[in-house]
Amino acid sequence: MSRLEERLRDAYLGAAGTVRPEAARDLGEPAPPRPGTPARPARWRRALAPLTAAAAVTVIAVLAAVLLKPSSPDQPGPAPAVAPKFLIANQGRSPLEVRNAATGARVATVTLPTEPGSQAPTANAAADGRTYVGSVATADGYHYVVSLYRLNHCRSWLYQFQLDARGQPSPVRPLAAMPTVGAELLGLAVSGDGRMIAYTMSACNGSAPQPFYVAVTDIRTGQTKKWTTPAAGSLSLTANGGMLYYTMNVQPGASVVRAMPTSAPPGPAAARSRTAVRMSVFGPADQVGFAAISPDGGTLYFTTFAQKSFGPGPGQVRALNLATGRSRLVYAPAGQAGLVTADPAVRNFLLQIQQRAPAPLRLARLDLATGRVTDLPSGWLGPIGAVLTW
Amino acid sequence: MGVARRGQLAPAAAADDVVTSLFRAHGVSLIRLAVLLVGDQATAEDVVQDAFLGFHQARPRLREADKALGYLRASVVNGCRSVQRKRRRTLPWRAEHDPPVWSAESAVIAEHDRREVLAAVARLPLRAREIMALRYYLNLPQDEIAAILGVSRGTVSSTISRALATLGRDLQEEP
Repeated sequence: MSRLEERLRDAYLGAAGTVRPEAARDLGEPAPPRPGTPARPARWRRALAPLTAAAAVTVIAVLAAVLLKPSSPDQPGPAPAVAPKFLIANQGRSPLEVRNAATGARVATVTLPTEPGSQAPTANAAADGRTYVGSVATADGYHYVVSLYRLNHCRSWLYQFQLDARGQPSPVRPLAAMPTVGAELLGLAVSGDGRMIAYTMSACNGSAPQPFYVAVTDIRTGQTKKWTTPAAGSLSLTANGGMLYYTMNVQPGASVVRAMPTSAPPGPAAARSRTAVRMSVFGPADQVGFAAISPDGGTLYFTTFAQKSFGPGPGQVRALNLATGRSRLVYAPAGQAGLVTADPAVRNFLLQIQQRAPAPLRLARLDLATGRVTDLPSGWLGPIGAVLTW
Repeated sequence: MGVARRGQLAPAAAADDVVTSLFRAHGVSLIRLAVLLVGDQATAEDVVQDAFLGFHQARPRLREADKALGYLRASVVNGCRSVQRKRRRTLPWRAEHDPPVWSAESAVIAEHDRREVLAAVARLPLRAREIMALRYYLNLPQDEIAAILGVSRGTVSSTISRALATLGRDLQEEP
C-alpha cells in the first residue's frame, strides 16, 4: 500500500471515529426508560407507523407557516431570499436614516440615545459633540445592531432596534452583551443566525501603543473572546458565526483577508487564523477594500484596488471559491468603488462608484452571481456618499 | 438474527428482529460511511435511518439474507448522493446542515493531516468519493463496490486510479 493510501485510510478512520458507537443506539434503540415512563420503541419503528400522519402534519405545518407568516419577524432568522427592502444610511451621527433600497426614498429615521447607556433616545447623539455612531450591522435586514462611542471617553455602547415590514423602527434598546469599558468599538458584523457579533476594538487605556483587537461576543451568553492584531478592517461572519473573515492592510504588498474560527482560543490573531487570500496575486500594489463571506462559508467576495500616488485607483470585485482556491472576476467598475456593503445573503453588493469629477457619485447594485449591475437612484447620497447597511 | 433458513430472510413476523439485528451489527459503520460522504453526523443519521426504513419496506422482496447488507450500503450511498444533489440545488445561504467534519469550521477533526486529506477527497467528483470511501474505509473489494454502485468493475478500477492520481497531485504524494 502506498503512503497516499495509508494517509487516506488514516483520514477516513479519523473522520469515521468522530461517530461514537452510541450514535447507533440513539438512533435505533430505545433509551433506558425513566422511572414511571414507558419505554419508547426504536426510532425507525416509531417512524414507520405514523408515516402517513406525519406527512399530513408536515403538509399542514408548511402551509400554516407560509400562510400565517407574520409580516414583522420577532426573532432573527435566516437571511431572506431576496435583498432587503430597506437600507440604513449612517452619516456618523444620529439620527440614522431608513431608506427604501430600490428608490432611495427616506422611509423613517432612527434616533439614538444622547446619553449612551440610557434607554431614552431624547435628542441628537451628535448634539453633545462627542458621541458618534461607529457602525451599524444586520443579520437579516430587519434586526440591527449599532455601536456608539464617545470620543476620548474610552467607552462604547451597543444598541439594537428592528424594522417592521414598512421600514418603521422599534424603540432603540441597549444590547445586553456589551463589552463597553476601556475600548472604542469600530467595525461590526452580525452572524446570519443573529447570535454572534464580531467587532474591531481599539483599547484606550492610556498605554502606548494602543492594543488593537478583533473580538466576538455570543449574544446569548455574553461570552466575549478577543484576539490581538496589528490591524483589521472589514469583518464578516458565516451564518452560524463559526468563522470570522477580516481584512488587513498593514503594508503595501501584504494586504490579505484572514480567516479565523471563532472557537479559537484568545491570543494573537496571526497565530489563530490563516490567510484566505493575498491581494498581491492580483497586482503587486493591490489592497483589499471590503470582504464578505457567503453564509455557508463557501465563497469569499471582496473588492480590490490598486494604491496609486493620488490615492485609491480603480479596482475589482472578485469571488474566491474557498474549496478550490480559485477566484473569478465578478465586476470591474469604471471608477473607484468605495463604501461597499453586502446584503445579508451576500448575493449582492451595493457599490458607491466615484467616477471622474465632476461626475456625481453612482450607486449600483451588483449581482454577485451574474456580475449584472443595476443603477439605483443616488442623488440623496450627496457628493461624499454615506456608510450604508443593507 | 431472525433468519428462517440459511440464505433466506425470515417471513414477515420476524421482520423487526431482522432489521434490529442488522442495525445493531452495522448501524455505526453505515453512519460512519455516510459521515464520510455527507460530512456531518446529523445528516448521516437521517440517511441511515431512511435506508433502514426503505429496507424494512423492501424486505419482503429481498430473498437472500446475505444481500441485505449490500442493499443497505447501496441505500446509504444513494441517500448520500441525494443529499449532495439537494444541497447543490438548495439556495446557498440556507446552510441547514453542520459544516463538514473536514472543514476549517468544524473542530471535530483536530489533526491537520487528516483534514488536508479529507478536504482533498471532498474535491473529488461525487462518484469517486463514493468509490474511495467504500474501498479505503470499508475495505471492500472492487467487485463488491461495483455491485453496490451498479457499475462495472472496470469503472471502479479506473475511478480509483484517477482519484489516487488527483489526490497524489493535491497532496504531493506518489499515487
